[in-house]
Amino acid sequence: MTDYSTYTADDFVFDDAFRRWVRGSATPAEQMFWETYGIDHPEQAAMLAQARQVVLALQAAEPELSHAEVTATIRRTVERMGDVQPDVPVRSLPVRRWDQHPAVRVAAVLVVILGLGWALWPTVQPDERTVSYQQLTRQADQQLTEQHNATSQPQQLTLPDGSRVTLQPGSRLSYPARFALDSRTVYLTGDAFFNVVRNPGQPFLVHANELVTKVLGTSFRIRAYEQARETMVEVRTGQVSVSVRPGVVTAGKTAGSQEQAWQGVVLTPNEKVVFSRPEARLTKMLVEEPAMLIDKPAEVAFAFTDAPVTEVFQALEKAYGVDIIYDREVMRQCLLTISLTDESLYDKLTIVCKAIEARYEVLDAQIVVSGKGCQ
Amino acid sequence: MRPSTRLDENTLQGLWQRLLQGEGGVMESLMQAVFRSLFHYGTKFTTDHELVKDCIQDVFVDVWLHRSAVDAHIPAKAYLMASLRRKIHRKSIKQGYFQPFGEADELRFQADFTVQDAIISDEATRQTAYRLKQLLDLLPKRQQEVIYLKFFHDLDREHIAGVMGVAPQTVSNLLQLALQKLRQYASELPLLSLLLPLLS
Repeated sequence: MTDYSTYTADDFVFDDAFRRWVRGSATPAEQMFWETYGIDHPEQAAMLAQARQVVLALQAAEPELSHAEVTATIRRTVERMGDVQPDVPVRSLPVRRWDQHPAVRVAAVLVVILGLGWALWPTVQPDERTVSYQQLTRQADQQLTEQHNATSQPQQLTLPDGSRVTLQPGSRLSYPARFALDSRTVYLTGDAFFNVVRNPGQPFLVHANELVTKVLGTSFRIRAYEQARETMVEVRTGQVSVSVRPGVVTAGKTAGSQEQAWQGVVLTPNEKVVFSRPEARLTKMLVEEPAMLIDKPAEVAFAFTDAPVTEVFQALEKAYGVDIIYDREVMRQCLLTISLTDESLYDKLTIVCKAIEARYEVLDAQIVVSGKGCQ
Repeated sequence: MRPSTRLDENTLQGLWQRLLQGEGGVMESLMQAVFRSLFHYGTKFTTDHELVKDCIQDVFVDVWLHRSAVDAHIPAKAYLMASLRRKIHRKSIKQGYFQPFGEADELRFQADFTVQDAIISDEATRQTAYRLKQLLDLLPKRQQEVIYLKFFHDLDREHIAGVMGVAPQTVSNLLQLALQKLRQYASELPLLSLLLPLLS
């Protein structure tokens, strides 16, 4: 591998592998290399950040070309293809019954598999209450670029503002070649993790099914398949606001009210919201595996000696950014000597609760601990 | 710039092979995948965008017509860009308006490098970007074309040679010259670089 330790920002800008990584077309090996290179060489961090911005910012000016122009030219080409005679003689195939043809057999198996999948997969039929990706991208007032992950591996891409997106197989993301000055708007169908570059003056908006997710700079995941009954937004860092598009009739708080208010929630780390499309209802809850909010979770030790359990709860609340509800008066009497490290949040809670003969439940986005206390 | 739909290299190559084997139905997906790249490249040789679109049509119809003669080992994008470059060259001569960019029978590459200010967060980075833009603008046209194909279309040396119709060694030489000049300017002109944002 090239020795990058003596590289300046300019050298990185002109390095093929570095450019591929920044522009999102790196091989998985290169991807891995650059992700770790920055961590291993903190002394070059500023240089790498600078080179990265230069690669993204320095472009060749390209003329506008509307989607309609592309489609029209392709249509004319396909029409012309029909007029020309192919120069390859059509080979005659041996005659066989249609159902003996291998393609027919494969197709038959596929029909069965797809049929089963269709029946088992919770789906929603499009109606006036649902909003499709097609509709969203068609209504966009900017010319959009689409990334479709047709592979079986997650794909990394970098948006014009430097934000990074991991697109799961089968998912599509549309975004303008240049973001508008007042907002960064993208459109998603499928499953993607976003790591958004912070820019309070230019909020980042993700339109996915009936939800609009708005952030200033954070990381979060959205799962919004066209046919799925549920759309989900999960927050890793920062704050995210999620609202239902105006015009979508929602249940819950706004039910019964005359005006169509926006239904929305604010999510903090380790929270997620699930939108049930048939009921048009938002439900806030905790993510399945809450992660610690600090950078190096391995180094955090929860060690307590004869401490009130309320202190343990407070430490967990702080580390994971969750709310733990308990009766302070009752729990204050429970003293605990315990050392917790890399267990998951729920495992930690199980251990603590076992020690004080209590139990916990996760209700919406809160954890409720109940027990008799310690006398 | 990114093409409208970024297929990964293998998917694109798969479509290309199927087209060459006579499966006309894949034409639309294939064209969708590479159209923007081709159009962007084509407009570096002429300001007549209709001419570029016509030439792209012709290139694909020719591929379909002569598909058994196409060397399937050449990657789709490199093959198509090479054909488009030749097609624009020939058509421009025939139509008699080779200008504005070119001399009598030479195709001249004309690109404008730009800096997207919105992406840049600090002044030092902005200066670096503008300095490089200015240096790119100063390069001879052939060196610019090599840089453009390499940095904005991710083509490697062999394929750039194929597209431009020169030997791979020539591409290496052009690239070497370009990078040398970019680095040399960079070290010689620290003061000018401060002024460049104001001049551009």
